[in-house]
Amino acid sequence: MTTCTQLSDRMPDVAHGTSRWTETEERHLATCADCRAEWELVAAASRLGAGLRSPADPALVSTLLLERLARERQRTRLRARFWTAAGLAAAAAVILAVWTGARTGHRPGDVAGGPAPRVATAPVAPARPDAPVAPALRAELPLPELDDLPAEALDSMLQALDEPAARADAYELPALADPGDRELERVLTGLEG
Amino acid sequence: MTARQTPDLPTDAALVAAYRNGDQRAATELVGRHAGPVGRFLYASGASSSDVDDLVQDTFFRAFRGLDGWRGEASFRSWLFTIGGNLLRDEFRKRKGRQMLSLDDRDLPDSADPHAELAAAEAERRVRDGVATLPRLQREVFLRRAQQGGDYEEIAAALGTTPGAARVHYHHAVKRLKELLR
Repeated sequence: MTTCTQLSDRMPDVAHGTSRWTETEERHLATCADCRAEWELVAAASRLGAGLRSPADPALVSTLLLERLARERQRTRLRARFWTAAGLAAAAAVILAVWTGARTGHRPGDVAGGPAPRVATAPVAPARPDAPVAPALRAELPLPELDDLPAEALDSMLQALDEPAARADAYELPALADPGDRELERVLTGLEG
Repeated sequence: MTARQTPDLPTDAALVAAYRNGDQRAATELVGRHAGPVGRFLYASGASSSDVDDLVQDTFFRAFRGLDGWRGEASFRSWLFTIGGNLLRDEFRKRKGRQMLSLDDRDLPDSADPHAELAAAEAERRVRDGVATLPRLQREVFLRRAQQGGDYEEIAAALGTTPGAARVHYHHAVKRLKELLR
């Protein structure tokens, strides 16, 4: 006994030619209008696009595809190279900033007007140039290693602070903005005690 | 729905592996095997015949770019249908539902009986119009089953559903199309 459901399940196979109707199934199709309508639908659906010549040229599709994939791979490689270079540049910038900060006594996170310029403000704070530097201020200096430096080395270090790379002018250093030789001498004397 | 493969021809999986190892002829072979059915599937799903070639090209491009996404649960062709279906859906969205169907610009095969050919073309047009109105899952299951001859297990694997649910979608689609075409 052929049921409509059994026939329905076999329709795609018959439509694609991988199977054929049995005599019983053909009899059922001849008598069941619902199954006939479904069969016509499935048969028409199986032919959908059969007359379509697409793609017009499969060889061209694969040629274009391979070219496109090659371009994509090249773009990906270039993008990877760019980001690697950008990463290295960023790392170099960070290293440079840390190194510069270590040389000048600034921590990388310090900003203009922040605590970093203490090294400069402490000893040159006195309004009168001949006034002695207060011991309390000297104690605040964060770089005790400067105590052992000769005057020439300190002088060159202070000059380095004025160089653009160090951007010392970005900090608030009013007292060191344009120190005279005598002032520097006093500063150094103060640093050396 | 799988490509008919004779024992002396490499399987799709073998060709994919060969392509991954740098053999570009494997890609050409895969395109040759599946471009036609993919084009027919897209056309039956509602793509205009003038858009089919571009959509086929894009389908293969996306497939080869993301070959890791094919894990072999469904056939390679079935996977291509899924990618093509997604592209077509995006295209419909881009065009804001504007109808992409067209039959006039399609190449009709030569026929000794032009009346029979016209009747067949008219039947095809009505089926295609009807298919385009189906919800996506119903449309995909119906076309994969009726047009491509796929079985429910494979269709279910490709669409991420169960064979039972795929069967239900198919019968809903048939019922709805019969009503539309009555």
